[in-house]
Amino acid sequence: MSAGVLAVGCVTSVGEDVAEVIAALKAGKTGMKDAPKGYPDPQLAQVPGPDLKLWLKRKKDARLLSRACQLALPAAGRAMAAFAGDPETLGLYVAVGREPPDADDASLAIVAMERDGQLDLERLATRGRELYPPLLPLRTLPNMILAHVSIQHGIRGENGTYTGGWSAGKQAVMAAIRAVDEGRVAFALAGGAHSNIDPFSAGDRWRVAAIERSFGRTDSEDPRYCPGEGAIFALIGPGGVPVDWESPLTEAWLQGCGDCGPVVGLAPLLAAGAHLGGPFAQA
Amino acid sequence: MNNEEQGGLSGRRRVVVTGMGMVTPLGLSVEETWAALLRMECGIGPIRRFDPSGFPVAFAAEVALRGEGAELKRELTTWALREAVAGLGAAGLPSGPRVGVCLGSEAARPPLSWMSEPPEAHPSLLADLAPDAPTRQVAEAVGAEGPRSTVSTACTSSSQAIGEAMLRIRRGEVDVMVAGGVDVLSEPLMVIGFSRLGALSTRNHDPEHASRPFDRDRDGFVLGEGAGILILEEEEHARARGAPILAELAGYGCSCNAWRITDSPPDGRGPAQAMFAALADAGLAPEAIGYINAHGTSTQQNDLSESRAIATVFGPNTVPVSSTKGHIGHLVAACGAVEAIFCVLALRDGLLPAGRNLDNVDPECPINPIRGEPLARPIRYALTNAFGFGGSNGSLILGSLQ
Repeated sequence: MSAGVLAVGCVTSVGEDVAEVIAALKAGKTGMKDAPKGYPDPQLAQVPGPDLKLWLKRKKDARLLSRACQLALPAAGRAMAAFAGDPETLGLYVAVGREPPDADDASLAIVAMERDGQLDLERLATRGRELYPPLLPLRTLPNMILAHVSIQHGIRGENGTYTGGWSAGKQAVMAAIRAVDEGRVAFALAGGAHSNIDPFSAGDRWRVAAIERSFGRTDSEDPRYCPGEGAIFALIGPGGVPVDWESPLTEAWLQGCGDCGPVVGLAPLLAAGAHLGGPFAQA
Repeated sequence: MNNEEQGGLSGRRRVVVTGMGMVTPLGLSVEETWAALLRMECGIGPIRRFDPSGFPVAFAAEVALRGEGAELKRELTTWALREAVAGLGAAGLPSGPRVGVCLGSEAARPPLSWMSEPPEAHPSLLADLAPDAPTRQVAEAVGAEGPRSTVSTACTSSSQAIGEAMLRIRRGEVDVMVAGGVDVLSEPLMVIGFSRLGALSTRNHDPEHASRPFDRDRDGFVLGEGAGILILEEEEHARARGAPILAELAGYGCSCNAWRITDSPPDGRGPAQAMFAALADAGLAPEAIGYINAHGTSTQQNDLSESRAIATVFGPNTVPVSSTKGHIGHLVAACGAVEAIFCVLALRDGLLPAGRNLDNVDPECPINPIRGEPLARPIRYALTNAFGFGGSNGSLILGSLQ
């Protein structure tokens, strides 16, 4: 392969500068905090902020952003910070998890649909219809991170959005590396973002645990499990630093930043970023 | 002018289509759907999956299978896969590490009853709701041990999945890929959600005439459901084992609009870039394309943007164009696969499907539409478009192997 990592940007619960994040993870620092009362897991690793004013061309677009999009924009922005090429020929490859609805939005519709503890179709067609947020579908489509990042940076080249758990991150980066290597794009932005701490994801975990218990198993009830959120993006180009997919940072990430779905598989990009000594040092 | 005459592609592994399966609102197989399409039938009608009383839109393009949500997605995928594999005849579908799967799919929606029932009532549902569930199901069903991936770019998903599968074969990672897509959209929350966005046709009084791509009086798209599966294979591999060769998958291109979340750029810039990229990938000049199966959703903005893009790439009012969404509605994550299969059939039969409900071609759409009845015309290459919410565009070029 004649392509590798040229720059890395991240947003994590232990910091947002690549070198600092690696140092924190290696030192055993953690972004895990005690969860609020009533939360299904004992701890969660939440990212403070981010301040989107720095990363949005149009402030009104903030209402369109899911939590994962909010995390993706700063990470992608940092990876793109020193890019001076033509974004129109840039590729964009993004790994995503299941995109839950914003809890406040969804609860309105759900409450409106409820009758005697059951979801009711007639209620949905009447009260729920009016309360259903018109922008909700746009916040929950998996490719919205790709959409917002491409709009923000004017990226118009080849692209893809990948789903498939932890492996999706690696798929996105490898798709970018191959696209550069094969000359289909000159440069590519690749990475992923996910938030796993919302009530819907917690509800899914509760369901898995309940199902397992009904089969006499408790595999998913590991008390060390911590949901997290974060984003990592890398600028891929000719001649950059190779990605060491065996990097121990994956394990360190899990211990420091919790389970962030496809972002966990992207932790090795941080190591590549640290080797660069600054954006484009190897380019 | 074909890709050999153009030169520059020699030595590249060629990718061919050896199997096809589909389930659509027009039929439960490729031939059933194709025959109905050529008869100008319509698969759009009143919603039967749930009681749509009081809903703003009460019609959709539903398939003739029972079920809902993830269970229906599994059924559609299985059905299409079974037909695609059966079409391989005695050659069968190989298994093992040189066979991969790449499907376009979105997350399934849980049934409304789900949240008020105990989790033990649906032990496999959580895993089946994931966007990559159909990919996993297909890989397990056929014993594919090679790469698996799932592309989730809304309406462009299966077009990009087929393109990515083609690239994996070309670069020698695998010899065979099962590619395509599946989606189920005739669901209460989808109807409400897309209605609130103002994207759906509201012709409740006349569902059969609701989806009218490129027509002056179009008012939105029609939610559909279905699945399309293609078996893609390296040409020499297919020949050596006696698999039927139905067409060549000659080119793939994709792009981002970087414009707006729901709108296509009015000048068609992003879609044009995808078509140019597909032509370059296939080594073809625009005049080599004999038919375009347009994305043609029947929304004002898509049809305007796409027709201008087609005019940019091919010239105004030149290549015969139709959108088959007038017959089958919008299958979203499955549309790219189903419409790629229509292109293979058009190449095979020399019959180009006509657009339905195209009573008054929008004068703002500078295309050469096929309407009224299918156009009998042998062609060598066909191009199919898929453009999605969020601005992802995908174009595929299918060719006959002469």
